[in-house]
Amino acid sequence: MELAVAQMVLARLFTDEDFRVRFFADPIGVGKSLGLDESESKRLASLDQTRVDAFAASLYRKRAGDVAKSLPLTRRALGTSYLNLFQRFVNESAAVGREDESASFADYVCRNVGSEPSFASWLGDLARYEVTYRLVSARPSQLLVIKVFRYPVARIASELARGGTIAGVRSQLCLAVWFRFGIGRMLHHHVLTIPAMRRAREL
Amino acid sequence: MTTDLPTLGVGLGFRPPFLADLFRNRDGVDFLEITADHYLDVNGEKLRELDLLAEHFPLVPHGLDLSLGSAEGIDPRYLQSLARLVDRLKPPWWSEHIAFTRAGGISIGHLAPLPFSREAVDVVVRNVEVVQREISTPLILENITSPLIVPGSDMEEADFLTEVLDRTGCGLLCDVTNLYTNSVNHGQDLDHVLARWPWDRVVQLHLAGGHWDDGLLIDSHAHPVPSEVWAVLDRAVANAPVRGILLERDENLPPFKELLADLERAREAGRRSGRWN
Ligand SMILES: [Fe+2]
Repeated sequence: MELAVAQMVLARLFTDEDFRVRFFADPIGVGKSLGLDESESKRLASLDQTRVDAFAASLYRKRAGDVAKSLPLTRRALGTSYLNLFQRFVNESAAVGREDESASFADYVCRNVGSEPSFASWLGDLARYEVTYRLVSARPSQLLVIKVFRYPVARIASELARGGTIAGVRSQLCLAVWFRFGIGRMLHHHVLTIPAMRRAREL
Repeated sequence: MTTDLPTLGVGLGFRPPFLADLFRNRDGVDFLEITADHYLDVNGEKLRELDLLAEHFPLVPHGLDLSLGSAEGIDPRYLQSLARLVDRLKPPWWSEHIAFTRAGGISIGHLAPLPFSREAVDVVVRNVEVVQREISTPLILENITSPLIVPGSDMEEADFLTEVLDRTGCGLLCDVTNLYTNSVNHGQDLDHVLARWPWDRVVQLHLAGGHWDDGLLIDSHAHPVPSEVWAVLDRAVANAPVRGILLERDENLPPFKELLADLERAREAGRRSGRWN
């Protein structure tokens, strides 16, 4: 069998639980749909399934850990729901993101805030704010980024960073701005609430 | 090619939480390994962190995602970024793993094993040649750990490594924890593995701790180095022209003095075998 084909199947076995279950239940049928002949499928199916599961599990723990490290505040706000939500994210995302999955996970949080009554309504905004901050910090050529949020994200973020709990947050439109005075220069950041912007205009 | 490389001594895999302790204990740490992927295409602040480290320690970049074992080849953009980093740091050598991390549009996000086969040797050799055309700094290759032996393997890991090293001219970054872990998980006789291992190609060693999980030994880099791995390290240092020993600790960080004590123990092992003073 060509190594390229074997690696493609292995990559799916390691990262896609549904595929893994289907392949080991019917290696010849699933292999056929991928263009493998019977002997090729049998050879791959000779992999020790419990070892493949163990490899996949360690990979999954690593991915969940990496995203938690990238989005510590979102992770903290999600509390015990984090691993469940991350599992759903992994199951529903087609391909594994390269290196940094935090952006696609943040996007997933935004899309799914409404699906769980236990999730705070500001959670999607927090994830979007945290990931934007992270990405802008990492891209020295980005000179200006402006985002609108429906909740006071900067206050929520600093409260969470202090280890506090967030209660009684009301919706409040605000504008977050990240800017640099040149490529590679220091990043500046301000969050303006809408009333403050109105005042600024009146001055 | 590897015989004229300098001796670095004992070092630590750099993790940002170590920063303050590293500067307080500069004498105990001879060099640092930085994860190359954390410094590819980064901003001024991250580069300043790198420059600060480089002012005080020899740095060796260690890559994770070049995917030297990918049959579909190397990602040219990733390689370009890596080449820029290596050029900036001008290290004595740099390192990557004998593994694949990408295939068929999927990024696995982890080092996945190759079959120990001629075809896989050919793939690694081809990819390393592409890399060596872009980066002239000596590349050394690391043995990975894997709970799996990939079907299609028709040689032993040690023979596979030897062939890759012979054909690429690369040195070996021998991870003694990975060597030990694979021998345990695959039920191999450690003495047999050690007897076949390409010791003469070793440039650097990696050393880390692991733990048992569900009947498998896992190289988690989150625990102290077990005595069995220290024993393999001693044999490695006695057998191989080691120029550097590096301790990897990623999680569950202990007080820094414990890491320094491990470095001292590794330094002593090198002294005993005349690798350095
Ligand atoms: Fe290693």
